[in-house]
Amino acid sequence: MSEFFTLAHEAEITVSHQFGTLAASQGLAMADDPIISMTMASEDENVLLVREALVGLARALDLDVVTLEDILTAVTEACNNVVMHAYPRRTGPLQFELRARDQVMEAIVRDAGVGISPRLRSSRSQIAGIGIPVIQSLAQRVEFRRPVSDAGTEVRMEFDTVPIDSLDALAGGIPAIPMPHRPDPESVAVTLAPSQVLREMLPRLLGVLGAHADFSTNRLSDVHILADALAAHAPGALEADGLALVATVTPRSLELCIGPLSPAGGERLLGAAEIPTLGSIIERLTDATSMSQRDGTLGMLTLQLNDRR
Amino acid sequence: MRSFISAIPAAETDEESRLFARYRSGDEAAREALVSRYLPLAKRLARRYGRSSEPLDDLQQVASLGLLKAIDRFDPQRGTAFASFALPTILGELRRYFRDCGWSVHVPRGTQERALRVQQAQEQLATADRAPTVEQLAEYLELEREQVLDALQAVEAYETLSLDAPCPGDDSDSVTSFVETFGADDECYERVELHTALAGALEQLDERERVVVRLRFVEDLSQTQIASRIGVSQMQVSRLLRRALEHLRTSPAAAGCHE
Repeated sequence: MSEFFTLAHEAEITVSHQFGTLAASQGLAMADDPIISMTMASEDENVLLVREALVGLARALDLDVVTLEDILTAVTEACNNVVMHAYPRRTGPLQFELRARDQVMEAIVRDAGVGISPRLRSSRSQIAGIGIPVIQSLAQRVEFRRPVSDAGTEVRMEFDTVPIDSLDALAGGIPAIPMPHRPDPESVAVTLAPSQVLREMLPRLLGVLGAHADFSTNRLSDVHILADALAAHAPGALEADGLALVATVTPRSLELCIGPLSPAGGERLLGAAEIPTLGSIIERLTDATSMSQRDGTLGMLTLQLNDRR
Repeated sequence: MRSFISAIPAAETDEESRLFARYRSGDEAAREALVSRYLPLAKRLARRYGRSSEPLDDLQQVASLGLLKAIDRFDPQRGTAFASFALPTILGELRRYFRDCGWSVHVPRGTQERALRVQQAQEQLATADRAPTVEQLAEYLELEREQVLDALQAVEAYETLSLDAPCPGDDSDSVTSFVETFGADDECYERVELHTALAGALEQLDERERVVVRLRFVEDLSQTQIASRIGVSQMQVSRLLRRALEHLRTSPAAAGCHE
């Protein structure tokens, strides 16, 4: 009997995750920290953000193309399911996490909306409902979990990979990066670790955000150059070997908040990106920069970019 | 265990069984009917799997091939609906296509093909001081925003495309390489008096890189303005800037300046 159109497993879990504020923000050192963690609104354009994060990571780790396409396709289906069905007539939080273990990559897509069971029952059409069969065909193991309260769903997907040198080096050694608070439900919060993945990931992530802000390609290129500079210089200014980012997009304007910075890390970051007599590239490419203490103790650098056209 | 396709009306599965019965007894028309019935499923899967790496036409062909295999191998006696069998078969065909080609994630063919179109459209839509948005490019080229972003990233990431590639917009009989264009324009910028410290820092850059860094950060021109001043595309300006700054970051001389 074919299992492909059948739920692999529907487990009750007794300890639900706190949506919006992750356990990591309480400073818990989890044995198994994510390489990518993202919290954002359940909107179409944020699915693109998740996809670009995965493409950037695949390049950073030199993943093979089938592994990338498997994860990309399955994760997209899980995210689209949240965007379309989790929050009837509204948006709510969409969370994505990616972990790497010994020859396994684990992707989690989580929401705090309508549980998965009613959603599955309502997918009446054979064609419209291919998302979950696609996930089950591509992932080696799939689990649909919901908290006892039935608020929300977690789709956990595991993908077996061939041994990947870059992954083996990472496994078990991912530093915990506290997930920053999102000031606005529309803001995007991301943590990326270790910082060696920033070079490929930041230009892609910030590029999507610049496109959301409806930047011209002119200003979008500045965003890419800024992302290069941050990826190169941030590691020397961060508290841990990874980056937390909060992005808030408004029409033609993008605010990026980066941290957590070590003491005087903000000054060091701007200074490192300096070219004699020209000043800091980071400051030259942004419309405003400011340093602040967010979440009580964490130093954050806020960058504002506008596109005046 | 709940089946996802239990919701298919019984009449449809009956029709499906009849078509398979007719096809197994040699009726080619029944096979055609099955193909056209499930081609939308194959196409949907092709749009989902690998869409950022490969041209869609190619993927749809591969998916159609997977559908034909599924139709030929399906055994209605086993009691599963055809879709349950076809979906993993078609996906398997798409995965095998990628695995057999062995392409790396660094140079997807679809991206390379789109990069040139995006670059040309960018120049066509740009005015003297205003560049198009990703949305406008996507609409103009009938691409997804993701594909445009991917192409922009590919053009700007200096390692992917040769700087000696013909400039877009050149007609075929007068192909001027980007490098030549730059050489001709360079002299005027040589006259710009520079602070010695800056000159020292920029020493490790090649001529083209020095010019764009100066225009962008000394004269404070936008990339679009630089592009029209030196006669290249804005995306080429961006690529040069990214490369120049990367050189400044990695060269030993530049590292010294930062301490």
